[in-house]
Amino acid sequence: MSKAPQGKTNTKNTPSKSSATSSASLMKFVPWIAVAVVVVVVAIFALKPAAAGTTVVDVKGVQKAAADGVRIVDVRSVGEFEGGHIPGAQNVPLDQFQSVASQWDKTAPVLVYCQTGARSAEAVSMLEGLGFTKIRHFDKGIVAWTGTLEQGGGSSAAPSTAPAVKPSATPVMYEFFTGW
Amino acid sequence: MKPVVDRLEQQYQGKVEFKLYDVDSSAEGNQLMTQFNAKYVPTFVFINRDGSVSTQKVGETSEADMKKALDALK
Repeated sequence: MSKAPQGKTNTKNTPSKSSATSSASLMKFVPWIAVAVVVVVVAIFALKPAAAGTTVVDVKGVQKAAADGVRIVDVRSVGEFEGGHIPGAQNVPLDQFQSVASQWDKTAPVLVYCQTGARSAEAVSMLEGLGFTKIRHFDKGIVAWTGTLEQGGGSSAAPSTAPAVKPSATPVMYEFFTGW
Repeated sequence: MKPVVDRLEQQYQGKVEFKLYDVDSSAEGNQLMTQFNAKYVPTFVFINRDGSVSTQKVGETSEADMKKALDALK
């Protein structure tokens, strides 16, 4: 079978023969490309419902949510929250998030954030698991926040456990780094 | 920065306690960073025995500067 096209081009020189062969083999892939396109389209539609309830928002989106009275939740620790948070935010540390959030109205919008987006991403999947339908995720975290910060306990839901730097036997050097 | 910090940690063993936090993975590190009002990495915070902040250095810091800060600790 595969010899047939080659036979036709036998009289021509080698380059044209090889180009005929490669276009023939390209033709063989066309149905597969079509299949691949269909698979991708189906995958996009199949995945869409799962993400439909969650919107990623930026600083403006947070400000709009605050203006609309949306519940804004800071999932960082109490100490981090007290050090500075988005005005009006409520503090529910991630380890308590699942149980606290399960008592909220699942049809009401909820906006979550943390320091850099890692913990709030976990909170988002907890909310999705609980069946929340209007989730907003400030995924850049408070490091990207350009508005004013509110300090202190605010509307914190948990008791204060913020540790002060205690006197110790030896001086201490803290280094904060990332793996970047 | 890591080789410098490792070397200093050895040199100051028993004199200064080194506490290193990867803020990508450590919630405690994030909390402390907020507490020290540190916004960038790397940040070095030097704490005296009484718990007061002696020096805070931000960004790549030379070994000599690090030593100066470590020696200034009370």
